[in-house]
Amino acid sequence: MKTPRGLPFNRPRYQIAAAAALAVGLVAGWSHIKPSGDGAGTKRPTTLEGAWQAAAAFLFNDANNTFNAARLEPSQERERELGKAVTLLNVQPRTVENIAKARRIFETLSSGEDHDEPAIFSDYYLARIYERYETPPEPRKARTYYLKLLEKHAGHPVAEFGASAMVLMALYDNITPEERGRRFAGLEALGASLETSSGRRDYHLNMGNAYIDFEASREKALNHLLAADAETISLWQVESATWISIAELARDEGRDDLAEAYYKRFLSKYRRDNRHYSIERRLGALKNPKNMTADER
Amino acid sequence: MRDKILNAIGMALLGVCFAVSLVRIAARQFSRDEQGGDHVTIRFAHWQLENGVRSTLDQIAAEYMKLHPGVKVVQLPIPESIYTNWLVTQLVGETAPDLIQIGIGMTDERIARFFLPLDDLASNPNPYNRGTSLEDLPLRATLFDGMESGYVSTLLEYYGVPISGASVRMYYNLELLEQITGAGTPPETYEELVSLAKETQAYAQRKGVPLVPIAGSRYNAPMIMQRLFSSQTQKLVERLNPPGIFGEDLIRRADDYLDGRWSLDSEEVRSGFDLMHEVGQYMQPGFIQLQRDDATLSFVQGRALMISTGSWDATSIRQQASFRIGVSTIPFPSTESRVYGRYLLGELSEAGTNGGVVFGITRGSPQADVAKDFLRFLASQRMNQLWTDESGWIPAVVGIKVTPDVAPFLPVTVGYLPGIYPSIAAGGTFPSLNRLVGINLHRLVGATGDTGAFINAIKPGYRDALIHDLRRNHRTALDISQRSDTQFGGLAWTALAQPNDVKAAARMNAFMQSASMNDRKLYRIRHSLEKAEVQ
Repeated sequence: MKTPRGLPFNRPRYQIAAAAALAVGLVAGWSHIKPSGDGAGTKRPTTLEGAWQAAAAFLFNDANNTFNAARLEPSQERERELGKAVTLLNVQPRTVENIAKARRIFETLSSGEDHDEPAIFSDYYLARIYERYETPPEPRKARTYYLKLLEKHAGHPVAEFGASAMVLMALYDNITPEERGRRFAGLEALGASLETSSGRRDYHLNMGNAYIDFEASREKALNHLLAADAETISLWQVESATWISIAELARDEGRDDLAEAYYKRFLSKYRRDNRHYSIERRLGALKNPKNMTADER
Repeated sequence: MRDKILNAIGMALLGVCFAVSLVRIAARQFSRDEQGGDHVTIRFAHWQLENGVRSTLDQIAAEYMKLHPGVKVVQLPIPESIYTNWLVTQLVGETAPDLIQIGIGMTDERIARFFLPLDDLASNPNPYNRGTSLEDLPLRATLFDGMESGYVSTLLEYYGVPISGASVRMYYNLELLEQITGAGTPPETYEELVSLAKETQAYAQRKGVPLVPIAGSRYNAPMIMQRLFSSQTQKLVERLNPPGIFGEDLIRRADDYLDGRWSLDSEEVRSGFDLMHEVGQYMQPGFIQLQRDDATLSFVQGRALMISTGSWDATSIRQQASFRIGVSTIPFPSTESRVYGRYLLGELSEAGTNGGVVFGITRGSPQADVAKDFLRFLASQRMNQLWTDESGWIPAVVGIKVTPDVAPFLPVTVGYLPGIYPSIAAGGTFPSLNRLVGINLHRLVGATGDTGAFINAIKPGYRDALIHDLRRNHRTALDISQRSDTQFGGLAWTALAQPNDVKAAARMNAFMQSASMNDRKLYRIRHSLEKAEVQ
């Protein structure tokens, strides 16, 4: 075989030298690249518990692999199936086939006589699929599942999480103000049936903010936001905005004591906030309207 | 013969490269093996190549090594332009350093996969604050932003610790200022700024020197222009907000535009564009085509009296300039102004400014405990004092004494919220609007610029661009919502399976609220889009 342009690679000693150099390079490179410790990424989970934690940390493919491969007792099969379906919704790349496969698993878990956790989770996810994954969405089917959850599993946090979604689905449709008014009235009863604190909080927050968004009723907006605040709001962004909304609505409704209390709450907890100075001025104006210009009011 | 020589040179070069690579790999391997003994090497990477940063971080590393003789700390400064590629290669190749600056190129998934949650570090006192007033406070309470900049809301955990802060200011050439005005006092209001700019132009003409009042570029000019524009729309926002809503609500602002509650012809908006037009006349011709370095060079060479840029450039500018530098907030129109005072409330608040230069710890770090300890050291009061003294950057830790050079950069806490921006939002929320405004800006600020011509140029495309951006925001919110479905499954199952685990229950609770808020955003955007499409 002729070597290119006069290089002496046809001589065995050069070939051996080149091969040896390459081998040394490969060994050095491999030993350097091969992680000496635990590796930079997370270890793939091996248990169902680890798989759920991986799913919570956005490691969807790892979690799905574990749900598929873990060795289990027969009693854990429904949990495995649920885990497979939940992670299939976001296994990358996300495909229509995976969503359809997930839906079939949820339907199987939901259809039996069992009213266990996998069945409750499955009903919730079927609602979500009809609401968010189908093109076009099928809100009626989604609503059916959300209602089923609320009727059969009151007091379960996953079941009651759907209540806040039902509020959004019903009120943010492109409908007439009259129809929206009817829907507001229909949804008012929902709050009384909720047993979990998180369910009540998110329901009241969405109702209160929808009353504000559609300028439907200041009084009802205020009552819902107060009810939400009574359940303890866990995110500071939501808490600070809700406290300001309560104070502003209370001021407009002539409930100055309530407005003052919420302005003060905001000022004492959220000192490092771009709204702090403006709220200070609003509180000042509440006590003496001359402290503020007409525009600020 | 010539071919043979060239081939031989080529082979020789190849051989030399191969040998050098081998030696370097062997050396790194040797240093890695060394760690098996008493010696530990930790590496930290960042993209802050501005003057003063690297030398200060080296000093902090030296202090740490003095305290811990068995530890070697190595700094890896990586240029911003290649940071994302470098980061991804290092993380995926499992060769990432122990600490990495979080920001550029990060996604939630990368953070979850490759970084350690730092909740324990955030909620415990920093041992390096012993003997100070911060001794008993959890680390997050020792930082001016409460470690908010290191919190990843989608993952509901802390992943980073900030060591600095940042603000945007106007820099002045004090010697020129004295020559022009006879005094070294920077303007306090926009009206004073305009008067100074006119004086500067007259001075340049009189002396026949190439001098412009403000150094502009596509990087620096928006810092002044956007701020001035948003001053004119402060009262408009107050008027547009329905009862119960206070402050910035970008979806509502977009909805207000689509519903005709404000337009590009609104007098406040026109006034904002007039301000941009006016201030543009005091920058060098064609500044929209210039880059950040062009503007900086113009200023440090004394060809511009002023420049607006971030606190991160302060040390670089001070080192390059041969004159004294003055720094103040970018002058805001006065409420007393007959022309621009009508629509504004007042100076903007910076009370909510977050920390910067946030470091996280990689999961693969073989010495994560040492890396965590170094991070605590970096965020201690004593080291943050050194950081601000030497780098000239704003401190992140509370109770730090700042030098007169750093003091003007501290956040202004007394002030109002900004109004609407030319592209509704200041950041990247509406990129098509940003592009539309950007490509037509020459019609507003050029030599023949005119507010009316500019508005007429952007008006026909403004609504479509906004709808396009809303659709994009809708897709993003839907994507977050879908991703959070699987995350919810993981969190809820874990919390329900361990009813006594308070932390798991709290995470599920916080997650539900966060997901519910994102869902509300999704529905609000969808509602606005449906209405707009019907119209």
